[in-house]
Amino acid sequence: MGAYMVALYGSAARHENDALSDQDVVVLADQQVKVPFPQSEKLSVSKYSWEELQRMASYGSLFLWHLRREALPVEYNTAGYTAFRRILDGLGEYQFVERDVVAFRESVEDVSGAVELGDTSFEFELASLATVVRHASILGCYLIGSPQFGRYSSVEVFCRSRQLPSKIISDFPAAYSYRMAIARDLPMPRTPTTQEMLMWIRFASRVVEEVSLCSRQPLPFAG
Amino acid sequence: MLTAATSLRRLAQVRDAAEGVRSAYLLRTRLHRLLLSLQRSVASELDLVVLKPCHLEVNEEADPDVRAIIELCNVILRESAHLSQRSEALDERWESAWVGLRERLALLEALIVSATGSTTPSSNVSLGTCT
Repeated sequence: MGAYMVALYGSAARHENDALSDQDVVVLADQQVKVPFPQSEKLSVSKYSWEELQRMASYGSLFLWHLRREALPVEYNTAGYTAFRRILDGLGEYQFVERDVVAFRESVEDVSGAVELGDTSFEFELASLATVVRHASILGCYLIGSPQFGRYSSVEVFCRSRQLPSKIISDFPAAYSYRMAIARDLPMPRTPTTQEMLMWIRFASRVVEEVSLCSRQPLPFAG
Repeated sequence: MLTAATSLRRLAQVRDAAEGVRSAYLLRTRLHRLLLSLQRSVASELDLVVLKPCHLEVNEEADPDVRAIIELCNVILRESAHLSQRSEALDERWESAWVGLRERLALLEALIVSATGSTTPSSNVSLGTCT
């Protein structure tokens, strides 16, 4: 049998799961290898081959940094465990920081343009902004050497460390609830006001520009 | 009412996310905004509100161009679902998905040009279940 590894990561691995949380599971095995793992509606499973994992490691994938930080092996054989540790222990710097900053910046500009044009829904656009804030914060946390991948903790850690407005932290769960409603087909919160949209466009821009500033500074060890 | 200029600009932005910035993250957001924009423009004819990209059902009596656009939007939304997986590392696999998506978008572009040049959206559209 070929090498395989099944690992839990995300909120369940951090013991921070709530009613909205899935159990994130990564399955690492080559295509022909049948891996036994429990089935559940709450499981969100991502499957990668070893070749894909190696390729992701070659550019220092933040997903692998995520796994390196918190993955809990639940099913594996010796060959799988060895390969998993070897790849994660040798993980290099993330290579796409600049590209991601450009993408975040353009995402915020897109929202701003869409709100101005008015052919969109504020619910969708606030969800987009909240997603930018979360992912930019994850990247920012990595850049300042304090990797965080939690739904809210990444925003809290990054904004606090960079002394960004505390309102970003306090209001973020409400903003991210639109993302959760869209992604998980939950009841949509009330329609955001124009003032709220403009506020979050400013907040998201602020977070992205702060990440951009971090990206120009020497990278601390992000282990 | 479908507006060609806006829809085509949004479509070009989707292409730029994939072939210019090369960001799966930006591609996903722009693709969904394009679909939402098209769906809202059609649904508004019936005073229906669409808050997020979702599956729309179109009656057979609807204008063929509009029906084709909405049905293609449904297909694109379904086929791009893995770009939207919550926990998936977006950097992997999206390029192979883009190959198929690019062809769908070319067809969508042609349909938008055709529909906006010849017709107004039909009222024979009904909302299905958002997925």
